[in-house]
Formats: sequence, structure tokens, C-alpha cells
Amino acid sequence: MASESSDRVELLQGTLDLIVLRALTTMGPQHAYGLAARLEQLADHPFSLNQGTLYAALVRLEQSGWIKSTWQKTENNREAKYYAVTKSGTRALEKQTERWQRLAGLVNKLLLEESS
Amino acid sequence: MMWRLRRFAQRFQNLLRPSRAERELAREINSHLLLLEDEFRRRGLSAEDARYAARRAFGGVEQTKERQRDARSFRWLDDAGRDIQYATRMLRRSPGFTIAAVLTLALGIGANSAIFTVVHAVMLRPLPYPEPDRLIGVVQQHKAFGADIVTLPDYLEWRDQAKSLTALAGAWRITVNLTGVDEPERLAGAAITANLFTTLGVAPQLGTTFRDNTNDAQSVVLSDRLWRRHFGAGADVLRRTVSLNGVKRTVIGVMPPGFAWPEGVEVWIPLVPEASMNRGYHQLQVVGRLAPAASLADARAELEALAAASAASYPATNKDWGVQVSSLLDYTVGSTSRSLMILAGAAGCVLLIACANVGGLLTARALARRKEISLRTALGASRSRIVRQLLTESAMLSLLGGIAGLAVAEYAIPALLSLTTLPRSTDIALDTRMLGVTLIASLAAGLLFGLAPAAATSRFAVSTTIRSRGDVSSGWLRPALLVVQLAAAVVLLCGAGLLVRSFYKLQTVETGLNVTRILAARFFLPRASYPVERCIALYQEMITKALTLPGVSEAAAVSVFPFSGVSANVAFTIPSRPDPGSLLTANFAAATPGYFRAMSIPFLIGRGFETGDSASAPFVAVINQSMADRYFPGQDPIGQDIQILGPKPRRIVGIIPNLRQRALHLPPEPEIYVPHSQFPTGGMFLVVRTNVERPERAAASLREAVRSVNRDVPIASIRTGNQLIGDTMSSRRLNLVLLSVFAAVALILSVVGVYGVLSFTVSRETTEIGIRMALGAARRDVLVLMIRKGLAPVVLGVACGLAIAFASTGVLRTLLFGVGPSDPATLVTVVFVLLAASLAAVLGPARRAAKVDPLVALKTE
Repeated sequence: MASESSDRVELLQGTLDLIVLRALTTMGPQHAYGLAARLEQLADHPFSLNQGTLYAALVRLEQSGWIKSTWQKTENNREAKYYAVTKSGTRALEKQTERWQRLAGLVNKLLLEESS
Repeated sequence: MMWRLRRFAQRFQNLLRPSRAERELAREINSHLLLLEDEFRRRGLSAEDARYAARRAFGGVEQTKERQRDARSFRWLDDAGRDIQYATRMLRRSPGFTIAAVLTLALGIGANSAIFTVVHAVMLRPLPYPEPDRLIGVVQQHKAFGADIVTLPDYLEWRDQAKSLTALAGAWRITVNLTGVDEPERLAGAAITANLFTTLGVAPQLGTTFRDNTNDAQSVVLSDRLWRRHFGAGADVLRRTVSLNGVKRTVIGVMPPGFAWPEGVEVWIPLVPEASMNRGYHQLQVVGRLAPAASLADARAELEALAAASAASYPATNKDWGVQVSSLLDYTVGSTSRSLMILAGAAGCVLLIACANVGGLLTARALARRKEISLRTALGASRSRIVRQLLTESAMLSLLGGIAGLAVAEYAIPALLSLTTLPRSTDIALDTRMLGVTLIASLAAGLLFGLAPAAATSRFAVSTTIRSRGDVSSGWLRPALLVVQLAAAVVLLCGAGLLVRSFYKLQTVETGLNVTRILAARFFLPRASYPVERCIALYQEMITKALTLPGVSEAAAVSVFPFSGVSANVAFTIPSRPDPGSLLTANFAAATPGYFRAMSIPFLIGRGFETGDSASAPFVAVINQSMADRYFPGQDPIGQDIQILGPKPRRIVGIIPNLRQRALHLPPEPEIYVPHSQFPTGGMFLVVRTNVERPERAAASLREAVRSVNRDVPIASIRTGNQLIGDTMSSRRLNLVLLSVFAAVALILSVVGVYGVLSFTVSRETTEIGIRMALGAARRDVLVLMIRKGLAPVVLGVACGLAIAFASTGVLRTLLFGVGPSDPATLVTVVFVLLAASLAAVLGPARRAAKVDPLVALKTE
């Protein structure tokens, strides 16, 4: 299926959740479209997030109680579901970021060792 | 971690109420798309273009929903329900396939659950006594003659001396006439040592058992069945008097339901000194209970030492006799376990073949469904989702097969038990445990045969399949399954072939007897009611009466009838040779004067019995050739004296040819016949030669004639000579019939498999064949090519199967007669049959391939 698209960045399980959580923290409450636009902007490499990819991450985060959602009006008076980080979400972000950095450090080290 | 719990709870909630989350998701995605559209319109696209662009940017809406559902709930549970619905629909839509698969599986699963039910009941379930693994069984083992039950003196020595046992009990199987009740009956009984019941640890449900053998000499203990049958299960049976073999006995106890040791016994009486203290007379079945600290090995070592001591003290009788100590379970099951294990293996082969066959069917179907599957993949189904869907289908098939298999087993078990008599088999039936085992086994089978096709199918990439006709790479799978099937079929066919050949060889064994028109009725006249003169006279009366019956040409009586299962072995001496060095033994029978004539047994030398050979006349005997050869080599036995069962010598007056009497596979043994008037035993067969084609039709009138002579004598059985010979083959019949059935099923399934695989290949390669023909290939070439293609897996399978058969038919060795385990004729026949059947199976599809019209084949593309 998707495996032939090797030019896409494959996201590690849970990575997307962390990115979304981080984006919501910096941007404040945001809807899925806004998040997707922001992420596309951020990545110099095309994540080529099918924008729909976000929804699985959002539901996981919400079910974990790290974000909560409310229906609100946009500036253009469209209705949209806004997600905001909760307190436990903030705490989780800290913890997960730390974990991620440790992991990234380890992976980096291993990769460098191997290529040298 | 709170959040994990929270998430679990939420997912669970969504599982139960999916609709709310679903509406919410649709609304959110819709809003997302509108926002995207706004954006694109702002960039200057038309309304319609903006809508398309938004869709493109968003990606697959359905995939998104699928993924979100995955994350939001326990999809697999939700899916399972849908998969089952879908699978039901699929199976219902192709009833031909479903019925074929379910029937195939039903055969495989049914065979296994039937065999396993029997194996469990006979070999695995514990004996119904407390601490059953502390119980042992003991037999005596002769270096040359093999195992035999135990003599009373040996038993007594072991009981008194063995320290590794807390108890050792013995039972002497007897048959008794029960009279003094409404319907006289002949019963299996046992004369037992008083400690039998306590050794086994079973108390009576009513009354008591024997305290010791002398005080209770006139007592009897009944089985539950007998108590219900004759005494209406009343408590007043205690202290009642019944007559056993004409001896009045008082009922003192009733054993609990199901208790029967030795197996089949319905009455127990105390073993009193009438039992023989002869060290040559093996009569007791012996059971013991291990002392708390002792192991089976301890008991074995101790009893072996005791046996060795006896062999030294009593060389005349105990030389070369050792003991064999085994757990009571092994003792009870005996040699049956071997043939049951063979059958279990064979049933396993059948299941393997059935699974391979259904696997093949599923693969073919999956290939035919690859467009549907690609479409589902394109619509967002993940690979694991597809595999799960396909596995659900095969699991449902196998469950259906399992249920149908239970029905098969329900019928197969009684049929199987009717083929032979197995120990511990009286109460065998499907129970809940077997139900569970069967269903679990079928599910496992479903996974087994479903996994390969599912994995192969789910690999179809969307692009390649939808775009093209798709040359599917999993073409190797069905031939591989076919190889497995054929290998298993070869093994089964070889096993069955060997047994059939053995059976045939046994049937053509020359017995020296012609019993086709013979009817034999068994009687027992207990001495207590029928003193010597009365006994002789009564048998004479019955013979005379039988001779008056229409269709009866000869009548006589004999104590040991060929193939009846009754045998008597006696020790004798030759007075002219005071020290023969070893015990002389021979089979022994008492016969009335007409016996040899009735059986058409000729005399090699000398004469048969005459009415003049009465109790007061000189004692005489007739022997057979084997007896003459073994004990009177180079001499004329006529006129020689032998001494047997009593002080008076007997003169040998005649010699008859060797006859096979005990079992077809055993060589003739030395035999001694004496006149019934000079050895008036109470247990005799009334032997009648009829001049009708079906002697069993005379049975009723014979029964009537006997009753008119004496109402009180129960007839144990009336059998024709052929029935009796058939009975001795019964233990072989179980293996023979089942292995043959299994082999036939294997053959049919394999041939169907061969046919299916090639048909499928042909239909898949029609275009290729068309191209070949367009390029000038002759029809003949195509035919040969296709036959070769069809037979390739067959040849490979047969080769593998032969290798396995060579390695494994040795387990059949003890069941064979007259053929070796790698009998070339059998193996060649099996290979020939399989190849011929396979060739017939591939011929159809190969012909179809050769008839392909290149124009049509290419046009259909």
C-alpha cells in the first residue's frame, strides 16, 4: 500500500502525537485544518501529511485527556472543532519531550557510530 | 498511568456507542474540508476547483475515518462482528464451495474426535479407584512362551513377602450359571481373594464384602448392573439366597455402579481352596497397591527377586518364569494402546489432508477474489484487516466443519466400538470435554489452512491487480499443499495396504477345518447340580435330540471348540520317561465319540472314540501330528501311555492332522483329546453339522431342542464356525477397517486436490496456452505439458510419502501377518494406484487445455 512512497517521511508511532501536542502548546487552541496548515508550513521537507492523518492523533490525545475539544466559530464564521492543551497535557508534553530527546540522542549516537 | 486507563475507558465507550463519535467525526471532517475550500478560493480557484483541491489536499476521507476509528475504539472487536456477518454472506453465496469444504473438514475432524474420544477413555482417563497411580498389575513372564497370568502359589508368596506393596489381591475369572431367578443366566464372575475390594479401595454401596475366604465361603457380592437387572435394585437383596453353578450362596453386598474388576465381571465369590495350588496353573489376575514410600521400580525389583528365588526352588514349574510389573492402567489397556496410537496417527493424517485440501480450495477462491480484495485495500482496508477477514472466513468454515464433525463422531464412535472389544470402553461417548477439544481443534485447523491463503492474498498490491490481470505469485502454494496431501495419502495407503494383505493372508490360512456349516452352542453344567453320570447323560440326550432336527446331519460335543476363545492347557507326563527335563504341556479337550466325524477331521493313524470308551474301560487319548512330532519324535505314538489329570495312564489310540484352532496367525500346537465319558467336564460345546447354506438359521430350533431336554440350562451362546473365526479377527478388524476408510478418504481427497490444482492452472493460463498454440505448438505438446505440470506435485508427494512410509510402517509390524512392513508388492500397488488415479484426474483439465482455441483465448483478453 503506502510502502512504495519512500520519499515521504514515515512517522514513528507516537511521534505525530508529540508534534501535535507541541504545536497546540505554542499556537494555542487550534482546529485540525489550522494544525495541518501549520505543520505543512513548518516542515521544509514535505511531510505530505494527508491532512486526514491528524485525526487519529487527535482522538488518541483527547482520549488520553491531554487535549480537549470545543466547537467554535472561525474568523470567517465557519464552525470548527478547536483543540486546546489541558494541564495534564502540558505535563505530558514535558515528560514526552524529555523521553523523545533521550531516544533521539540514543538513535543519533547509534547511527553515527554505525556510519563512522 | 491514569491516561492509559482513561483512554481504555473511552475506547470501550466508543465501542458500545459508535454512532455519536461517528457523527462528530463526519461533522469535523466536513468543517475541515470547508476551511480548505475557503483557502483555495482565496487563492483564486473557482468554487468547483476549490472543492476538488480541498479533497485532494485532505487525502482519502474514508481512510481518515478508518484510521480515526482504529484509534478511537477497539476496532478489532467491532470488526469481528462485521467480519462474521460478511463471512456468513460469502459462504452462503457459494454453497458448493462451502459444502465441499465443510464436508471435507467434517470427515477429518470427525475421525479425530472419534478416535480421540476412544483414546482418552481407554488410555488416558484415570482408573476409577482412589489413588489410581499407586495401583499395579502383575503378570508372569516366560522366556519363551511370553506373558501369562499368575499361579496361586506364586501369588501367595508375593503377597506374604513383598514389602513394597501394602496389598496384593488376585481374581480368578470364572463363568457361572445364575439360577433361582426368573430367567437363568450365564454370567462372568470372579473368585477373588478377600482383599480385592480394599486393595482397589472400593467399598460396596450396599452391605459388606468378604472378611476372609473361609468364613464367607458361601457368600456372593453382586455388581450394580446385576442387582438392578434381577433384583429391581431393592435393599432386600441382602441375605437373599441365589444359586450359582448349583451352589446356594447368600448375597452380602452390592458394589457401586460402574465397578467391574476384572473387566466385565458381575458376581464375585471368595476364592476357596478349590482353586488349584498347582504351580503350573496360571489362573489369577493380580493387582497390588504400592506401599507409601515405594515406587513402581521398587515393586518390580522386589517381585523379580522373588520370582528368581522361586525359579531356583521349583525348577520344574518356575524355571524361566519372571514377572512383569506395570501400572494397573498399562496392565488394563495392554496391547490395545499400540493399535489405538496407530489409529490416532492415521486420523491425524486424514485431518492434515483435509486441511491441505480446504487450504487449496481457499487459495483458489482467494485468487479468484483478488479484485475484490484489491478494491477493499484501495478503499482503506489495511493488510491485517484483510487477513483477519479471510481468517474469519476460514475459522467459520472450520467451526461448521467441527460441528458437522461432531455429528460424524457421534455415529463413528459406536461403529468403531462395534468393530472390536476394547478395554474400558463400556461407557464411551462424546462428552463436553470432547466437545471443547473438537471445537478448539477445528479452530486451530482453521487457522492452519486459512493462514497461508490469507497471507498470499493480502499481498496483492492495489496497483498491479486492478490494472492488470495480475500474474499471481502464489502459484506455488497449492502444489505445495498438494505434495503434503499426497505424502500423507501414501503413508495411509501403505498402512492400509499392508493390513489388507495381512488380513487376506490370514483368511486364506489353511486351518485344516471346514466349519462353514457348523453351529456350536456353549453350555455349562455345574457339578453341584449335575453329577458325573447326569452330566454325561444330559449331553448325550442333547446330542440325540439335535440329531432329530431337520437339516442336522451330525451332532457331538467337545469341551474346546476351535476359535471359540476357550482353551485349556495341561501338563502331562510320559510314564516311560521318568525325567523329561522340562514340563510337558499340550492343549487339551474332551470330546464325545461323534466329534471328529461331525467336524470332518480325518484320522492319520488309529481310531477315534467309541461308545465303548466308557468310564470303566481303559483310558484312551487321541493326539495330533504336532504332539506326535514334538514328544514322540521318531517313534510310533500309537500304544504309548501318557499320564494326565489323574493317576490312571491313558493309551494313545489315534492321530489326527494338525489344525489351527486358537487363532489363524498362531501355528498349530500339540493337542490331546480324551473321551468325554472318561473326563466328564461340565463345560461343553454342542456341535452340530447342518446341511443348509446358512447354519445360523438352525440356531432357533437348536435352542428349542435344548430347552425341551432341560429347561434349567442356560445357553451361553450359539455361533456358527465362521462367526467364531471372524471373532478371533476382531482386534485386527478395528485397524483394518479404520485404516482402510482413512486411506480411501485420503485417496479421494488427494485426487480431488490434483484435479482442482490443474483445472485452476489451466483456467489461469488459458491465454498463455493460446499464445503457445498461435506460435505453433501442437495440441499434443500442450496436452503433454499440462499432464506433466499436473503430475509434478504428485510425483514429489509420492516420493516424500514413500520415504515417510518406509520409516514408519515398522510400527505396524506386530499387526502384520505374512508380509513385511516394507512389502514391495504393497508399496508398488500404492504408488500405482495413486499415479493412475492422479493421471485420471489431470487428464480432464489437460484435455481442456489442449482444446483451447487460440483465437478465442486471445480475444477474451
